Amino acid sequence: MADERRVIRLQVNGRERVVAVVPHRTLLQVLREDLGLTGTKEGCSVGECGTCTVLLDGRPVNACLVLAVTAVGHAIETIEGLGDTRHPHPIQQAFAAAGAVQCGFCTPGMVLTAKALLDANPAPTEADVRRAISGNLCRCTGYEKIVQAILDAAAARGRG
Amino acid sequence: MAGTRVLRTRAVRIDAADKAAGRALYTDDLRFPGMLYAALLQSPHAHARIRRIDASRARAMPGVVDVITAAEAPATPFGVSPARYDETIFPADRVRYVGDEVAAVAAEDEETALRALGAIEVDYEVLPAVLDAFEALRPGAPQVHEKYPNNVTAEVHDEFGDVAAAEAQAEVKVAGRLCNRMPDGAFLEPQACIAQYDARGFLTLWSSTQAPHYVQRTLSMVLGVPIGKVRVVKPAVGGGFGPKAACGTHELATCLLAMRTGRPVKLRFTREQVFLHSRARHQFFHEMEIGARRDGTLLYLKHKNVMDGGAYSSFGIATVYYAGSLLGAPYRLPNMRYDGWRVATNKPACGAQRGHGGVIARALFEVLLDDLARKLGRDPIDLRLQNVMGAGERTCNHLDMSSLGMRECLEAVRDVSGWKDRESRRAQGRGFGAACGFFVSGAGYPIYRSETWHCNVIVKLPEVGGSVLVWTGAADIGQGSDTAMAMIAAEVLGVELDEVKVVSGDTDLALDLGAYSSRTTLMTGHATKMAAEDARRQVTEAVAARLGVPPERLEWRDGRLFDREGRADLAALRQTYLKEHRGFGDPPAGEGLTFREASRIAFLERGAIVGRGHYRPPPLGGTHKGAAVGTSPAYGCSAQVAEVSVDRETGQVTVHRIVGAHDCGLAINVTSVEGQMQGSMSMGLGETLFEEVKFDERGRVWNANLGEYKIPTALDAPKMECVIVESREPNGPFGAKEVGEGGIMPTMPAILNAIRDAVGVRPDEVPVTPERLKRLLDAAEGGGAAPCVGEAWPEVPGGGRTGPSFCGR
Amino acid sequence: MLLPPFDVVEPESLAAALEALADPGVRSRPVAGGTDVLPDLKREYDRRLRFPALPAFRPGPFPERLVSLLRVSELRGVRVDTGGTTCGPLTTMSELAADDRLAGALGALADGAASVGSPQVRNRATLGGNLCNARPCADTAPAVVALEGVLTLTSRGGRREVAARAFFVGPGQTVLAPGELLTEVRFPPQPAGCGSAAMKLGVRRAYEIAIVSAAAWVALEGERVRAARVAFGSAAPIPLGVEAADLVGKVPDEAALRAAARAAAAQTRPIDDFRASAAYRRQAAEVLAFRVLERAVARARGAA
Repeated sequence: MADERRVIRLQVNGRERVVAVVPHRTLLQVLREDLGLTGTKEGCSVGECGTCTVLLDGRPVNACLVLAVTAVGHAIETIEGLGDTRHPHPIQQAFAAAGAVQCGFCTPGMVLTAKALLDANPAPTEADVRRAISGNLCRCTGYEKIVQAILDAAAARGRG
Repeated sequence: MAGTRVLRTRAVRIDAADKAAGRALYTDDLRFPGMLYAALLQSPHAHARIRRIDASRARAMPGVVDVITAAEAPATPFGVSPARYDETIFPADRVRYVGDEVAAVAAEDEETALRALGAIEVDYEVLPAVLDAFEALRPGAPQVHEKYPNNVTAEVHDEFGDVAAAEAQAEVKVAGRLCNRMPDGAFLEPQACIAQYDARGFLTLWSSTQAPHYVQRTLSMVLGVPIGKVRVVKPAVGGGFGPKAACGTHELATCLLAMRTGRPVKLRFTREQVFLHSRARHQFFHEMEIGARRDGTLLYLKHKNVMDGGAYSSFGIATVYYAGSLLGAPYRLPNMRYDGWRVATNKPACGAQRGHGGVIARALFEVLLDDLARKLGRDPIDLRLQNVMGAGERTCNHLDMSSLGMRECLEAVRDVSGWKDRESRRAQGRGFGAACGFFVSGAGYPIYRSETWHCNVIVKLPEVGGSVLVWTGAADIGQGSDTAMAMIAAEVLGVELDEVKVVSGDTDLALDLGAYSSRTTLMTGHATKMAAEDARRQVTEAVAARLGVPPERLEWRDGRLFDREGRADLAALRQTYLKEHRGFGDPPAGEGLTFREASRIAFLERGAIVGRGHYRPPPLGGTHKGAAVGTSPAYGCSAQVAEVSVDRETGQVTVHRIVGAHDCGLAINVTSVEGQMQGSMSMGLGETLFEEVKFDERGRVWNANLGEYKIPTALDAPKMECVIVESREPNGPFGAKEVGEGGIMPTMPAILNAIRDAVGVRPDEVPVTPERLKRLLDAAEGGGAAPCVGEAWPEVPGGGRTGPSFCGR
Repeated sequence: MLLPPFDVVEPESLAAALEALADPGVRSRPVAGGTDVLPDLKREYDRRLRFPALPAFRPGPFPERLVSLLRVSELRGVRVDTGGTTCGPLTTMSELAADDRLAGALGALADGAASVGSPQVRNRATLGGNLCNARPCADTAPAVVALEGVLTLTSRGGRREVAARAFFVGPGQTVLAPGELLTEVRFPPQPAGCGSAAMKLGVRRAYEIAIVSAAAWVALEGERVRAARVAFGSAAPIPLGVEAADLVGKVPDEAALRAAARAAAAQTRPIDDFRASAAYRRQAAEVLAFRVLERAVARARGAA
């Protein structure tokens, strides 16, 4: 029934999280409002900006368009699962170092998309990078330093 | 000035790690216990009288805690400029655009608040609406506001020099038109705010704003809360670009609901509401004629501008001035005539957006310069170099170029872009276009008449010694002002950037006019420098007093305090410090007194060390009406070369590369300067090729979403190369001045000039969508109209010196 | 924006899915990737809450139940056998775009899938959803029509096969009956010498709804064309398939392809709307038709 909550178990950042949701709740709402993981943003609600990007089984998707119940049994990675205060993830470090972060609203989605790219393709070309982030809009940077950051992260990874 | 230690580096922004980790908190990330959710009821009609509102059913709904309409809200008018306060929280009599706010609901959850909107009965009497600026000027057109006859909300008629005499001397003339469509700010974070009102009558608003102080003032003025009891706090903001620089109904209504319910109230915009609120760039219709000597010397500009400003004034009275005044430089232009009209229509209100009024005007001017070059058989960059101003010169409209690296910028883009070899690239179907631009480094005057210091900064050294606290009302909206201020403080105090903490965007801390007109680097920078120097002086004096030596004996070297004569007993002070820190595992060591020791000793000597800084520009500008607008203590300038190709069959334009050079005086943070340049280029590209808000015949926005309102994606953005020119602005802190908006000025004309270079047509309207360019290409091929095509613009009735339309056909 | 309230069931077999959809007492609709269905529902709900006086985007009652197909594993996968290439409707756009078996002869399908929205959308959007939502701008539809895909529609009462060009009835409308699901999209075996391609025209390079799109399939016999088909999207109320009869027997040089493109585009019935004018769409349709024919020929010859 539409108004009845059901208890679901989600795998978020490697841990099991239990939430009670109505069926029409999106993964984005669960992350931000039920689990307090506000790093994933809401920029448009309809999958047109990419600020709500999370990784689902390692692939970037718009959390605003995923019904939470359908995410059960899949691995969900949010920005909070990457690195920590003392040991940021190399991609996060690369973004900061390259000046790829201005207002920061697109950044969590960009970083996760970059992670998925580098996990699948450790040595992307610039064209690969631009295509991979074509679903993450940025209004501040013009993408130049974001592309550079991702290429830098790939190179650093390559150097081991 | 000697070299700098922290400035002119690529320091990592102090908030970058938090943002990259998703830890930075934006307004919608915040929640408070007991928080209610608000929703706005907005007009479905572009123009309608409100006969009756009945909110009783909504009020009775379970979960609804409060509903407010015009009956419950103060009717105090507000806006941006006191001369044009034409908004109220909710209109009592009529709505003026689709989206005009009519009521607000606070409920236990967002969905209940939204459902309650449908239960508010509004009896509208639909009125005829006017949706076009020229229609609005016609006699008999629907009047958007009683107080603006003919729907003219502001008009400007200025002449500098003697245009008629210059016309007689001119040996060659070029003329043309350019118009745009209404763009949108399209920042990725929609507006959101949370209000809280406590038992003692203190009101706090957290808001995604660029201008906490202006919001604070407006809240106080409209809601009647004493201004000292109003606090506005800016959390992390996901972009502003201008539309977030003024107070809006969403903020006022949220506060009112909090005051009435006694509970925190949150309101956030959907993406559609961002479009309906707009306050973004106006629609401009420019006509210009430039006259010159045959040797290429510019003689005069005649400029006519009609602007569609939508339903409310917002920043518009400044915009209509900027559109004219921002053409006074960077070229020597001794005679200039400008007639501008800002017109009201029943569409979302337009305000200030990056480049404020100057963008489309600059684009047309630069395109006409290329026309002039073509007519004279001159290289377009050479022609510009011949005419650029230099530092120390003054424009015909009394703007002083205290520094102006325009020549250096032009030469840089010419050299880096391969301009001289563009013939061979043209053979491959590539077009090259160049353009310049400039912008204020902060408006010379606040938006309300006042003697106020524009910026105030407190640099407090914590009593416990060590780090540095910079307290400022400045608003970091992504441009990196927090980092810039931290770098300035670190530079002055000789400490590491890591030791500086900036707390900003909070009106409780200090008054700052906010992030608009590219003011923060120069103006808040001055105040920060002053405050840091004050703090350092107090430390020096206090330590000197403790040592029993005159302060002049002490000097700072690499962040440590030394006695020039090497005799003072610094060791004793260290002992004092160590005794106070028994058990601590990181004792200071080495020669001289470390900063943390010195600041701690200074506190022990005289109490908390609080450095104060403030800044306001000196009186600027001429004495003509509106002279204030365009004045600034300094001006940044920019040049760009764009390389494009055109798919002649589809009309699609590809921008391959933009090379830009910007004179920012001195680059506080090199990476941030490049970031602003690139962001400006990207935004300029979007407005040139993709971005337009589309209205239907009833004034509704058709594309109020990011799928159909198209900002560039990573696949659309070109390679962007940046050259930084540092002219060392005498009026700027350490020589620094703006980069936030000047960088957008050359982009549109560089692309337009490049399109013309590639395919021989020059569009007179932007965005140059594939269809529009294809139409032009077909017309040109058919031997049809000359580059300047389109319907004749109507005369501007009843408005000053209009004269015949002078578009060359 | 919020979704309107609805129930969600997640059947794990086709039979269970058909059962859920056949329930007469509940207004159900299937959903797969959700990248069309959910935005539509959000926009419509938001419209009715905030602007009830304005026209609905999609009139009619909201569904009471969404039947998520994502756990019906039978609907996944692409297989190639003597019967041709069969795509499960849950195949995502990303999967189609990356499937090497869809190069060359079936390249149009991969092209169309690769051009959808954004990478995030492509990771969820499915072939079935794209076809069954039947927007005139659906990016895989022209390819499926040009490739003469055969769609299997299954209900509790049995199966039937429908040719792609007969599947679409109008904007948002297909021949799917209530309780029927698309369960297979099959493309006939492709002999050597076949190639296809698809392209779309937008204003920017990602996240675009096509102003117009085109797909072409060409079969060569030696130097000459044995058969050729062109299909258009956003050029008519439904994806429009056209036999390029005038190409048969000809050597596909530029002149022949241009003529074929012109003839094909002449059959389009585009409209004026906020995205583009009919006149521009027709012009662009001809340009795209030529380009996809050219690329299809190159692929048929074993190049690109």
